[in-house]
Amino acid sequence: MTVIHGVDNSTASIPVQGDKAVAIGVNTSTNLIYVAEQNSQSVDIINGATDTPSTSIALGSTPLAIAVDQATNEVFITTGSVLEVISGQMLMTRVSLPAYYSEIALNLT
Amino acid sequence: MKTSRLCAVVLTTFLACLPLAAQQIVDWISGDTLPPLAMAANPVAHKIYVADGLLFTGGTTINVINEQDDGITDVNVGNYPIAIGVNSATGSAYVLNYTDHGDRRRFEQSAFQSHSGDPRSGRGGCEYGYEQDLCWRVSRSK
Repeated sequence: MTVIHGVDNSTASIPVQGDKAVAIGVNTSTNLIYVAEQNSQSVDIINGATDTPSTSIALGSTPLAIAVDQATNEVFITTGSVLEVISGQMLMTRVSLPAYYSEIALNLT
Repeated sequence: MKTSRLCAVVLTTFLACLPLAAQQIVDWISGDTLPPLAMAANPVAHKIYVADGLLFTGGTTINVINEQDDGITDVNVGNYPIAIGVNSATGSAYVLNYTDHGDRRRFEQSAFQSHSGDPRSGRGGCEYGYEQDLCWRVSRSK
């Protein structure tokens, strides 16, 4: 993963665990970056303050999309037929979905 | 400078955020010839990031558009930038590279296979490459 600094467009590389990263979510409240990777079937969590990997959470299936709720500090990941819910940096809930969903969006109202 | 439909994607996204009565095209910005795959706005640095397209030549750059003057700077990133996230707390943009670990060739080979039996293929005069759960549109640039 590449980080582009807003001030001067300078770049730095952040190592991620796996390959085929497909989705990213940012929680600006906690300054954590969530990266969904398909090969490793995991979510890497990056510390936005230091731009270094913090931890990695195994999902058990291939992630497709991420949505972040900053108000509740929850991250939602769809793997198609399963919705994974991460609270902060810990996998909390795994919910089976009634159909195959490849995108995700939050209604915050 | 290369030209493309990049501007249409940028403007469409911005216009979608405006009140309906205020929506009008205010400018066009020339960009790369590759179909852009992802974009994000940086409200801290007042910059727009557009990822180069994935297929055919395989993008390795991000177009950074300066909101002040619409100037474009190409920033080299890894292979196949596929998603962009902006951390408005720090002003940094994060670019996901689909093939961070060197399997670019393997992806190219699979991406160009035509899957006529796939229900997502053949729409709108386009073909689709298919790998795992992803179906990629192959644009036919004129």
